[in-house]
Amino acid sequence: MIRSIYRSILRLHPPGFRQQFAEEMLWIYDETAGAGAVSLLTDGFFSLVRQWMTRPATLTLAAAGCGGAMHMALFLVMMIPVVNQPPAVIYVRRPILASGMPDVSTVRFSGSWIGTLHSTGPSGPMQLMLLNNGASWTGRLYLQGQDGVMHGGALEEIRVEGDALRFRVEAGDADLTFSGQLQQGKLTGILEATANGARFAPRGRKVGEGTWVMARAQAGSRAPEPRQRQS
Amino acid sequence: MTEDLSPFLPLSPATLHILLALAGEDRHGYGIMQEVARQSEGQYKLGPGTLYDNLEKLMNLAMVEETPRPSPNEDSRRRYYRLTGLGRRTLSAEIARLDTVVREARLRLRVPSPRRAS
Repeated sequence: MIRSIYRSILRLHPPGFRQQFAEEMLWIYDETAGAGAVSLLTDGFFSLVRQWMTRPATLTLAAAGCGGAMHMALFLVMMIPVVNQPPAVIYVRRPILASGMPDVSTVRFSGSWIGTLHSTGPSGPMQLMLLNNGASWTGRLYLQGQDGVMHGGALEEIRVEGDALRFRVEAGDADLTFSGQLQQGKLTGILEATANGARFAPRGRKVGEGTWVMARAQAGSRAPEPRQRQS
Repeated sequence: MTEDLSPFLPLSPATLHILLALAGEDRHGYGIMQEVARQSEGQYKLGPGTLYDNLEKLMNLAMVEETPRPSPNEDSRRRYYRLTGLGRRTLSAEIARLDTVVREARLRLRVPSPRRAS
C-alpha cells in the first residue's frame, strides 16, 4: 500500500527526472522501507515539490495561475524570444526581470555546457559553466589554448535576456566577448576578441573573431577536464 | 587564467556530503546514502529524494557523472556515480574554506585543537 503511494509520487515527478532516477529511488525504497516508510514518503513528496518548483515551465505556469490575467500576461511576455519582441514587450519585461521574479530563460541557461570554438586564434573544445545566484550570474569558461591545455577564466559582464546570452572573459592580452542564442537546446554564437591594451595593439582594437556552438553536458557524458598550466 | 571555484561555494550540506561520499570510490545511490550516514555517524540522513535532486544538479554542473556498473550481474536498477575532476577540485576548495572557518572559530572560542594520535 505505502509502496504504491511512493510509486505514485515518483510517477508525478517531471519526466526527465523520473526517467533518470525513479527506478533507482524505488529500489532504494525496497531496500530501506523497513527503516521508515513514512520518512521516505515525506522525502519523496518534498522532492516532488522541489522538482516541479525548479522547472522553468512550472514557475511560469504557477505565476500565470495565481495571478489570473495579469500573470498570464507575464507568462506571454516571458515566453516571447527577445529577437521577436516588439518594443512594448521589452519595456514590460525589463522591470519584471529587475524585480527578481524567476525567469524562464535564466533557468534554462544554468548548468554545464560543452562545445567547440572555431576562431582566427585558438580553436577546439570549450566548456561553459553558468550558475544563477538569484538575481546575478556567475560562471567559468574553459578553452583549449594553443598549448593544447584547457585554461579556465571567470565570466564577467554576464547578460541573459530571453534566449540571448552574452559574457566577457579576460584572456591574456585580449578580452573575449561571447554573444549567442539558445536555439533548440543548443547555444550558438560568435566570439569577438579585442585588445585590452596590455601589449602591442591599442585597447579595443579587434584582434580576432570566431563562432562557437555548445550543447548541455549530458549526465554520463565526459566533460573535458580543465587543467592548470604547468609552470 | 587561474581556476576560480568560488561561484560554486559554499556547498550545501547535502552537496558536501554527496561529494565526500564519492571522493573515496564510485557508489550507487543507496551506497551514497549509507556512506553519508556513516561519515556523519548517523547525524545526517539523506533521503532518496534529496539525494537525487542534488545528484541531478551536480551532474548538470559536470561535477558528478554516471559510470558503468562494476559487475554486469548487479541489479540493473543500480546506477553508479563518480566524482569528476571538477567535482574533486570543488570539494577540495570547500574543505579548505571550512578549514579556515574552523580554525577561526577555535581561535575565537579558545577551543583546543584535537590532539593527533601518536
